[in-house]
Amino acid sequence: MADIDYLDVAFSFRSIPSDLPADLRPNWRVPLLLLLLRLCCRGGKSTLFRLHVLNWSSRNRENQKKLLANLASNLDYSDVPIRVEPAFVQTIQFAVAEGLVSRAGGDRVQLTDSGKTFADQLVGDDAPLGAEREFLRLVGQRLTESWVEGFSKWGRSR
Amino acid sequence: MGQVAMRLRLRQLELRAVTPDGIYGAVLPFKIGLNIIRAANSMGKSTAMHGVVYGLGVEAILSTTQGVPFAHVLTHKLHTGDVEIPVLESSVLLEFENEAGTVWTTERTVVGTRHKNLVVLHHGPLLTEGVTSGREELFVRQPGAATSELGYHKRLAEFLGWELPTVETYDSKPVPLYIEAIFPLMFVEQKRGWSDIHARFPTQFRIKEVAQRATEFFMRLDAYSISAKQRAVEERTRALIERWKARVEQCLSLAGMLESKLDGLPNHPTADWPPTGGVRLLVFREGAWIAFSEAQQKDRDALEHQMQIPLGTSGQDDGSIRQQLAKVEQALVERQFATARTLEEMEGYESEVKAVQERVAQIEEDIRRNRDELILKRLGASRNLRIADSHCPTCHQQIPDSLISDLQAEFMTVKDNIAFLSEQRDMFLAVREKTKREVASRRLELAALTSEIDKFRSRARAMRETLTAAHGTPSVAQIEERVRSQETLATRSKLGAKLEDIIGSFTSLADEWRQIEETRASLPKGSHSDSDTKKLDRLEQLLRQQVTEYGMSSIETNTLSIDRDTYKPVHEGFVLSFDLSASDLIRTIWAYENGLLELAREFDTNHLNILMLDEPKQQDAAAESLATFLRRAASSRVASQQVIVATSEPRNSIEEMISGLDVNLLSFSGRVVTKRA
Repeated sequence: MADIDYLDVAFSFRSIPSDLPADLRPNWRVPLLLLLLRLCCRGGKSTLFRLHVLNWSSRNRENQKKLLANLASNLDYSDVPIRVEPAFVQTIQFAVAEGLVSRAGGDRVQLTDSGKTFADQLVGDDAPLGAEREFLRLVGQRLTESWVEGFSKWGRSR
Repeated sequence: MGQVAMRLRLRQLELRAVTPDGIYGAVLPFKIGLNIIRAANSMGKSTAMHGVVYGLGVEAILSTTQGVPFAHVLTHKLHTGDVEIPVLESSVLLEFENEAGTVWTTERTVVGTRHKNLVVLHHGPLLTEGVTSGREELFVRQPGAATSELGYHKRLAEFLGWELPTVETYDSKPVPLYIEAIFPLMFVEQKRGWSDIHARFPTQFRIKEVAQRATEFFMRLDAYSISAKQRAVEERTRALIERWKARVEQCLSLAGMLESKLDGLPNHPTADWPPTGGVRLLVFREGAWIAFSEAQQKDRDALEHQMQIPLGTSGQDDGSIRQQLAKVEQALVERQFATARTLEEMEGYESEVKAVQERVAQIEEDIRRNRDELILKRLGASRNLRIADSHCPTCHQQIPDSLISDLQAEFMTVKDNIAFLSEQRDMFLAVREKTKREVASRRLELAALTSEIDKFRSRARAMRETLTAAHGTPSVAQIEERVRSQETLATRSKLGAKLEDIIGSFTSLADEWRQIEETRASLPKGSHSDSDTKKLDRLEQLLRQQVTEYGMSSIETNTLSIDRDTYKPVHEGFVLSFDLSASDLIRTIWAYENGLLELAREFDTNHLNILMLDEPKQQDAAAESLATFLRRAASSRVASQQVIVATSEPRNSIEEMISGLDVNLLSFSGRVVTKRA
């Protein structure tokens, strides 16, 4: 006899799928990658390292603020605790396999023609990724390769 | 047979061009039933069809530009044999009649000195009988054409018996449903008209969901008025919620002035008034919440009691004053402790509100990203991305929709994920609201405590003054206390009465809410009335019947249906152009357009009982299918309807198709526009 009657019934467990943040879904992240290249990289071309920085910063508001603050003032790299994210590596591989992005020698990738036309669809004001686009427009092309080089030198020096 | 109430019957079309070589032109007389304009390609069939469109001033259905919808033949130069002749002036005349038998002839310039947006309206059969009873000049294709007395389309709508409904633009402005938005349902143009059902609805008017609104009007569905009524109820609901909230705010601010809280006053309108348990105004007194009226009574009693004691003088009763002072100081300390404790609690709740708020913001961000994912996936699918089909682009295997490759977990679909997140957000919002109420309640307690502290402090001060004052003077403490108590009591009763008045006024708001709920309940649950359903069911039947007759082959015809939202044919819920072969799409367009025409024979609709198809046999549709379609279209004659078909089929092939049928064949061996005598 149970203490509480309504608990005294047969029950079973059933597995339900787990939830997953949208930014871990390929159909969300691959277009974001295209947008990073389209809005923040001259000629739609970038080193992987710079893409990791852009990716890290666009993931959430906190990181966005940190990067923008850093770009606005002088370079104190300790303000920007950048992480390299395995899921983003997977994203780049997907984008390459879909023919949206291609390897451009060294550790560089660039938008293909097909990637460019897709990215162009994403720059309009009514397109999805509104908040991300707004942030990336603020960054513009200020996150230069030399910024990234400085960051990696600073990282090695510590 | 339902009655046929709306009608546009074309009687004759004339195209005229003045050239240095004399007058060129074309005369096309139309009859009831099937009319076929036959000529070889680029000989002027479409020019004739566009002539009708131009005569009615609805060329916006052909193109969004303001130009005239004609080929060179009426605008620049025309050909005769191998010679090109410049066009000096040209115009289009169209004679037509309405259900009442009134005949109009309109005249519009294509090239010439008269402005192309001017329509000369001749009252009477100018072309067929040469008689008119007067003429007017009206304008078209510019603001006011549908609303001003001199606007051609306002007059045309009246002539046709159309009462055009008001619809909304994308910026929520009310505009009439423009005539141009309805004509695509009766005219299939050659260039894009056959690429999809109603490929061209004019978008330049910025009417919201223009195709649906036009079809609802065209089929005279109640759906539009139902949704208008539903919108009106929504509007009233929104307005009342706002008024209710404003009044609640007013009550809360008065309650705040009374250092009291309101219990049981619902934030959202309710028809159930007064609420169970009533609305209670509570005051914080000596560590507990008591009714406002009770507190007032206590204060009044205390004051009365005080008044009965004769005013003491200093020195007279120092001992008892000292005793009282000790009590007051004790009470003061207690209140100060209570204040500190309440403040701490309030800060705790406040930080909880902040934390929950942050969580809500995160969830909302994730919901937004998930919604974006849905759109992005569709965009990806249209570019044939394999990830949009949940396949790995490298190894082509099915993958869970995730970038975490080493996890064998099963993930929710994005739609489920959105539902899941929305539920979470709602839960957190509920927690936030509850916590906010706790904060508000603590804040009131603090205010009450502060005011008590002030009171005790000034009482203590007055007592000390009395103790130190010269012997024999009246007690300052007692005088001050009496005056203050009287004032406070008076102000508080006034505010209390005002608050009560406002609370009483909720009765009428609750009544209004009940009325809104009753109206809402009386509206149909779905968006369609019974008569709508009958019409749509019948249209679906006509559609399936015809596509079978016309030889549809790529899908089972009974899987075709009419979508109840868009009113377009769909196949198992999907848009046709994806699943159908090109020729079957053409067959479906015939069946749908002709179905609408046949529907008008049985039901009350706003169909004008005319259908115009430019080149219905696109390269893909078989000749025998076209023959079947023409035979069926010829049945329009019995129903006093008109079907006008332009085709480039060879003459003998057409004659074979229509042999034995009563058809008005306007066959041109050369060009449609030729030299006149």
